[in-house]
Amino acid sequence: MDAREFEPIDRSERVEPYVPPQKLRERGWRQMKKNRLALWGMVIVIVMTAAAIAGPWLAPYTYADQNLVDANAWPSSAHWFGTDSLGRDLFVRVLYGARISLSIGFAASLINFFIGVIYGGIAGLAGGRTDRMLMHIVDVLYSIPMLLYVILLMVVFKPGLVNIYIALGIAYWLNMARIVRGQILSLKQQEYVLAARSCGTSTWNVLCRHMIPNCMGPIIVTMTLSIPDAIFTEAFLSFIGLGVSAPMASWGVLASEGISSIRSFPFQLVFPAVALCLTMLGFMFLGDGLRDALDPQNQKEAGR
Amino acid sequence: MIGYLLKRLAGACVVLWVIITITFGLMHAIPGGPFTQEKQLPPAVMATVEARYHLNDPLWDQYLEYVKHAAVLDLGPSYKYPGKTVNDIIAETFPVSAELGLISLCLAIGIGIPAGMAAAWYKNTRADYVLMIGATLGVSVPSFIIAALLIQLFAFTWPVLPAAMWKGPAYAVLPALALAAHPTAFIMRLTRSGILDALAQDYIRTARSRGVGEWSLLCRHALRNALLPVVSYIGPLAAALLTGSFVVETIFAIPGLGRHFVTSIYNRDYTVILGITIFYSFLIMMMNLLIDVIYPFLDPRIALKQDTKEE
Repeated sequence: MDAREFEPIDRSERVEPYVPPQKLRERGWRQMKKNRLALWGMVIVIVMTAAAIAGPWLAPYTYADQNLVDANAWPSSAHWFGTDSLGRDLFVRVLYGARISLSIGFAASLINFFIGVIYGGIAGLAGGRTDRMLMHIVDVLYSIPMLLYVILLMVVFKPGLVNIYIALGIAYWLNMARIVRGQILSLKQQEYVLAARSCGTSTWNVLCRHMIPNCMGPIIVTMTLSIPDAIFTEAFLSFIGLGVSAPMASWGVLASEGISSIRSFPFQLVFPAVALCLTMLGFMFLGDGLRDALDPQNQKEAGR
Repeated sequence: MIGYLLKRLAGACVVLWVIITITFGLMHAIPGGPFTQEKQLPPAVMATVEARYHLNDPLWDQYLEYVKHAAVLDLGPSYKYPGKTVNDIIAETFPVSAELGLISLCLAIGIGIPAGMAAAWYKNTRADYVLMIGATLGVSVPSFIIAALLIQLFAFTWPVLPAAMWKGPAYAVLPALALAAHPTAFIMRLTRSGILDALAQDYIRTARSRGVGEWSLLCRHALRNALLPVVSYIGPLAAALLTGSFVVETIFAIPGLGRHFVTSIYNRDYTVILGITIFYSFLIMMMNLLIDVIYPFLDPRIALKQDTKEE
C-alpha cells in the first residue's frame, strides 16, 4: 500500500468540547421549565403551603371561634367561605385544614424517607444474604393491604395528629426502600465509591455522604408522590371517624362534615373539597414533572 | 408449575400467620377490654362475659386459641352482636360487597381500557386532553366526595336514581360509579402510557410495513403488550375496590362488608375488626397470587420464579 493513500486525520473534529457535568438541580430545573403542568403544580403547592403557614395568623377568627348567630351563613365579605353549623368561619377552618393536611403529607413522607433510606440503604450496601432477606420481608409486607393496618393502628392509638403521622409513616415506606435499594445497588459499582472506600471512609459515611446524595432524584420524586397519597389516606380516615380530633379539622374532616349538609349548604362541602383536590392535583403534576426531569429511567410508569 | 403453586401457597400461609399475629397483638394492645364501657357492668356479669369469651385466660393461650380457630376458618364470635359469629357476618355481607365490587371492576375495565386506548391513539389532540383531565380528576377526588356529588346530582337535583339502600339493579348504579371512578382513571392512565410505549416499538413498525391495518395494529399488536401493567394492577385494584367500598357502602347505606367494617370500628367490635382484616388480607393475597400465576401466560417472556421481581 502506498503511504499517500493515507489521509491525515483532521484533529479539530475529533476533539469533543468539554461539557462540564451538569448538576442534578440545574438539569432538573431546565427540564421542569419546559413542563407547564409541573410548573402549575409547583405554584399550587407553594401557594397552599404559604397559605397554610401564614394564613391563620392573618385571619381575624380562629378555627374554634363559635358564633351561633352567624351559623350556616352563606359566603359573604365577612366570612369569605361562609360559616359552618356552629358559626365557625369556614375560610379560617380551611386554612387551618391546610396546615393539618399538608403537615400530615410532609410528616408522613419524611418518616417514609428515613425508614426507607435506612432500610433500603442497608439492604443495598450489605448485598448477598442480608439483602435477600430484607427484600423478602418487603415483598411479604407488600402483599398486606396497608390501609387496613393504618386503620388498625388508628383504632389502637387514639385518633390524633401525631398518631396519624406515625401510622402513615410506618405503613408506606416499602416503596421508598425498594427504590433506594435499587439505586444503591447500581451506585455500589461506581469507581468513586471504591475511591472513597480506599481512602478509609466508613461505611456509614459512604452511604450518607456519597451514595444517598446521588440517588436524591428518585427519592425526591417518590417523596413528592407520596404526599398526596398521605393526604388522601388521611381524608379517608377522617371520613370513617379516625382522623384528627375536634375542634381541629383537616380537609378530610371538613369535607365529610360538609357532606352531611350538602343539600342545604353545599358551600360547606365545596370549599374544603376544592382545596383538597387542588392540592392533590398540584402535588401529582409536580411529582410527574419531577419524575420526567430528575428520573428519566422511570418516565414510563404512569402511576405506581 | 405445581411446585411453584405449592411454594407460593406455603408462603401465603406464613404471611397469613404473620398477619394474624400482628392484628392480634395490635388489638390486645388497646387499653381497656372490649367490654369496658361508660356504664360499668356488675362484676359478676363482667366475670361471666369474660369467661365466655376466654378473656381471663393468659394472653398466650388466647393467641393459640385464636390461631387454632383461624386455621380452620373460624374467626370467633362478635362482641357486639351476641349469638353471631364473625363468619356469619362475613357470609351475610360479603356477597353484597362482591357483587358491587364486580360491577365496579367491569365498569373500570370496560371504560378505562377503551378510553386509555383512545387517548393514546389521539395523542396530544383535544380528545386526549379531555380524557386525561378526566382521569386526573378521577384520581385526585376522594371517593366520598364523588359519591356525595353523584347523590346530589342524580338523586336530588335530577331524581332518576335511588340515593341509598340495596334493593335492585337501579340501586347499584350510583355506588358502582362512585366506586369505579378511581380505578377507571388509573387504568386509563396505565393503558394510555402502555399503548404509547408499545406503539414506539420496532415490532409495530414491522407489522405496519407488512400492511397490517391501523385498527388491528392498535387492538391486536399494541394492546397485548400495553395490557400487562393493567393486569398487574388488578391486585392493587382489588384492594382499592375493597377500601373504596368502606366509604361507598357507608354513604349509600349498602349492607355490605365494607359498611360493616366501618360500623365495627365505630362500635369497637374488636373480633369483627380482626376477622374482617384477616379476611381482606387473605382475599388480596389470593388476588396477587392469581395474577402472578396467570402473568406468564400473557407474557411468555416472564418465567415463573420463586423470587419475585428484581429491581
